[in-house]
Amino acid sequence: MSIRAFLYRRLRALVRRRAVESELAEELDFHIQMQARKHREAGFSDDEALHRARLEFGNVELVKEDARDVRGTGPIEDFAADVRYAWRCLRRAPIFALSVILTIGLGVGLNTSVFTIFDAYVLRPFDVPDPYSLYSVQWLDRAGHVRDFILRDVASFQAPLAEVADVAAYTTFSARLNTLPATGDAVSANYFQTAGVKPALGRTLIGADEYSPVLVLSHAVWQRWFGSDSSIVGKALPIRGTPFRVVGVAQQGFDGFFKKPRDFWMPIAAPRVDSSRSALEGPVSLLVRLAPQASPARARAIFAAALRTATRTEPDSSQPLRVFLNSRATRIDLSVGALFAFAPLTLAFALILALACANVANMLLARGIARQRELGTRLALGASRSRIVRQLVTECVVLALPAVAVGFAIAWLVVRIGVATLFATLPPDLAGFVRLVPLHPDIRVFGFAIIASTASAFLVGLTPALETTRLAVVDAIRGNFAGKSPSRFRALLVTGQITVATLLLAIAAVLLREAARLGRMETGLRTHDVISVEVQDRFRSPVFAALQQKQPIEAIGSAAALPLDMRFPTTMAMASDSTAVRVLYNRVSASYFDVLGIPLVGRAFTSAEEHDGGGAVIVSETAARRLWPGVNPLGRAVRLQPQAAQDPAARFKDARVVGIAHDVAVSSIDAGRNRAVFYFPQHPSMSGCCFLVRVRGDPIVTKDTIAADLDRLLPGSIDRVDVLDTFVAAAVYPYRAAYWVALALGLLALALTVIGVYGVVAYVVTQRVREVGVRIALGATAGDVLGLMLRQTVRHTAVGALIGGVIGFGVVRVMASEIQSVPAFDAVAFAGAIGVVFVACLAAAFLPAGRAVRTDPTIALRQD
Amino acid sequence: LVLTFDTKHAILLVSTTDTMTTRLDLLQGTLDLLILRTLDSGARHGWAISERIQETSRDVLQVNQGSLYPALHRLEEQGWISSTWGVSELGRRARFYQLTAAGRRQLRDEAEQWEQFAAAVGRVMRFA
Repeated sequence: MSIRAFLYRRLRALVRRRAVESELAEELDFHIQMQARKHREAGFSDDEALHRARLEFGNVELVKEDARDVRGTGPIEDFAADVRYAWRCLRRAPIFALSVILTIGLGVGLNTSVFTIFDAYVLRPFDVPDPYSLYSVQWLDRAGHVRDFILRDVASFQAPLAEVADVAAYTTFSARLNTLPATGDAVSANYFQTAGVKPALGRTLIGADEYSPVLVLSHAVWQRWFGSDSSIVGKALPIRGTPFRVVGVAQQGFDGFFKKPRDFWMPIAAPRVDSSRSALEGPVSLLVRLAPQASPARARAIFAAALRTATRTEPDSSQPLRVFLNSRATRIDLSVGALFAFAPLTLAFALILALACANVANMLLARGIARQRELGTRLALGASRSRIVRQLVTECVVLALPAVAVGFAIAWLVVRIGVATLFATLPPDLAGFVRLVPLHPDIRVFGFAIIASTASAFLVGLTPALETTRLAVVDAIRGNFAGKSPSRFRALLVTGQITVATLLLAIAAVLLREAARLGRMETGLRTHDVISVEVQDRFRSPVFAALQQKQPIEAIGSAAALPLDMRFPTTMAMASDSTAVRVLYNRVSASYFDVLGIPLVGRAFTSAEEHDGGGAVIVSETAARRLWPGVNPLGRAVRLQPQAAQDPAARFKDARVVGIAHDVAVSSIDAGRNRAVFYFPQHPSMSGCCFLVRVRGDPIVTKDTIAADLDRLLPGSIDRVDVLDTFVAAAVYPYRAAYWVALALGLLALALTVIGVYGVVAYVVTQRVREVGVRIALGATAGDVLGLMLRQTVRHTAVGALIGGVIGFGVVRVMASEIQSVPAFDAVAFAGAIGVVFVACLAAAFLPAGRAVRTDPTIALRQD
Repeated sequence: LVLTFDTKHAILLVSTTDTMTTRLDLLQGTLDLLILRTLDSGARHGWAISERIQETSRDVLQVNQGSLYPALHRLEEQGWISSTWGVSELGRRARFYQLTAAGRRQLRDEAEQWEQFAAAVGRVMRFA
């Protein structure tokens, strides 16, 4: 028989089951009729003939059964019957079915929302032709540094690679666009051709654009900021004060090849007014599209050869050791590292799913026990154990399908609410900088929901099914289910739940205390009414002049490195009679200390010192203590040893201490750690510093008016305007967000655990009702009974909390090693979490245990 | 000649004593062969097949109805016979089976094997 005929018959046997069945019945009946006719012809009466024919034929149903087996649809028919049976059973117990669906749906939904994020960053390929032939390139030099390329060298790669790949260059570029903070890429003219990105409007960049100030907007920015205005093409938008003509809008859905979506693209050699050095010398990243037949290894070899040529005049340590080609098909290349990055979130959410599954398993176990009479009957009627297990598992799978829908809906909601919450709780100044990748669910997400639901239903269904069918037929029919193993299994489940709840709550508590500590921290700086203004160098003087005339401004200062936001550079300092000490340094105006409210001993810089550097330095108290212990450093000389020629501190060689500044925080998570800091003088009009202005009135409002005025007066002059408080908030925010997530998960875990504990104790109470009755009849007090019922819960909680605490201790240790400022051990947080778990579990056990206390011995003993 | 002792033919016949005559119940493999051979002379329905076997074996071979229909369905699954609904001598609808080309080949192979087997058993009975 051909495959097609075979499949046709199978399909017909399945789909037209009734027709096939009736044909079989007809065929067998025909046989009996024929046989009866034969007997009639031999002289039997009609009835006798038929009777004999039937007798000879034997059991018609058995023959039918055998014939069906031959058709090979038995398992599928069994499954269909199981599904029908499960459906009927579940309709009889809607509350049970609903609670299982919601519990699995919740667990699956939360995990699906995490998977949505994972999918958007790691799995979903960019919407460009053949994304899997796109690569980024980096190389490792002999000194072990990962290096980028120099734009000047790019042409020397393009020629030898012409056969194998297209090479485009790009570098990230941030600027205010349309008065809003924006991030774009400065790209080589062949970037869009290499990426295969089409314009949605106008055109993308072409070779002739190489040196011209033109701009391609992202589709999202065009929609959100310009209201999909199709007349945008041809208009000029100022970027850092230079008008850039918009030539087109990139295709919808393309926002660059990075974690952070890009807002615009411009030619890499376009006049970028800030660049102190020629664009040709600047570091660039490369985007490579391999030709269909080319292998990454071959491209790597050509790159390595070209690199050796490009670096042959450089010292040995700058020679290439290895070249890396990383896939640029997705935002994050799927690698062990990417999986590790997602692991904490994934694990925390997977634990919630495990908890939910444990609860469902518990429910099924209880239900299985309630159904044991039914199962026993079926066993007695000859159903095999595997057949019953299959039936029970089918029930779970039937429950899993609606759970997929619930989970998918919950995932969608969680993602929507999560994104909305993120933007609602972000410090308002920061929200403008945050860009999220579109987090819409796709076929992979749906597949994940299906697999997660079915897998959990399967796992959850299998164990209780195996447990409850492990009973002797005779006992089951009698309704005697004194078997011990299910309750031991349930105890195990509950202990596991308590472990997970303790673990998650402990981590939440650690993060909570950390966020609170950071929120309380004293920077020692006036941050609430000080605004930082970063400007383009060529606008420095006019902006300075404009700021000085503005009304609500109390004081203006400047700093090369913004306190709390930037890392201060370091240099080595040596007092005349001491060893060299590593110090952080900054270049600030004379008014810096006044603007930020830093107490000063000695004097501030003079105007002359601001302009010529003048050999004056103000040191922090800690720097003073380290360099001149026990001595007043005012007026003392210090020698500086710049570490590299390009160190900007190189011009300060010898300095005399003119003042001592109070210790203040240098970065937001660094508060309370006193650093040795040197302050060198620099006038606000000198290049490479940003303004710090102290204002009267509401700083947020003032900030916005300053930004608006400057945008109007000097378009494109400012890069950023921030209230300093924003930097503090920005540092605390990740902890606060992590704490909220951990707390939500911890409370959810606790809720699931409480339900689990309640279920187990309630079950034990009904199981031991006779025993309790006897005890009460023999004179046990309410306290005795309560103790008896609670003892088990106390034991489970103690074991669970202990294990959870130990695991949590290890997890927090790992966190502390990864995240600066998280303490390795926080006894208060752990004690708090364990306390909460204990109280919640005992409360959950108390309710059913109270029922045991009220047992009436006469009723209890009359049972059965 | 190397004879492979195929299990399906090895336990061939089980004799049972009946009050009237000695009848032999057929075992599975043999039944398949007999069905294929019976259908070689034309399409028949199930009852006719069993009658025909009984008749030609002079009532020695009695086909167990309980195994006839599963065997027919199995042979059809294997593609050796096919079935169509036709009108029987009773004037009723009946399912007629006929050999397919594959069935004809199968019959040739099985018949040949059977001949060899019967001959071998015969030789052993005579000379051992």
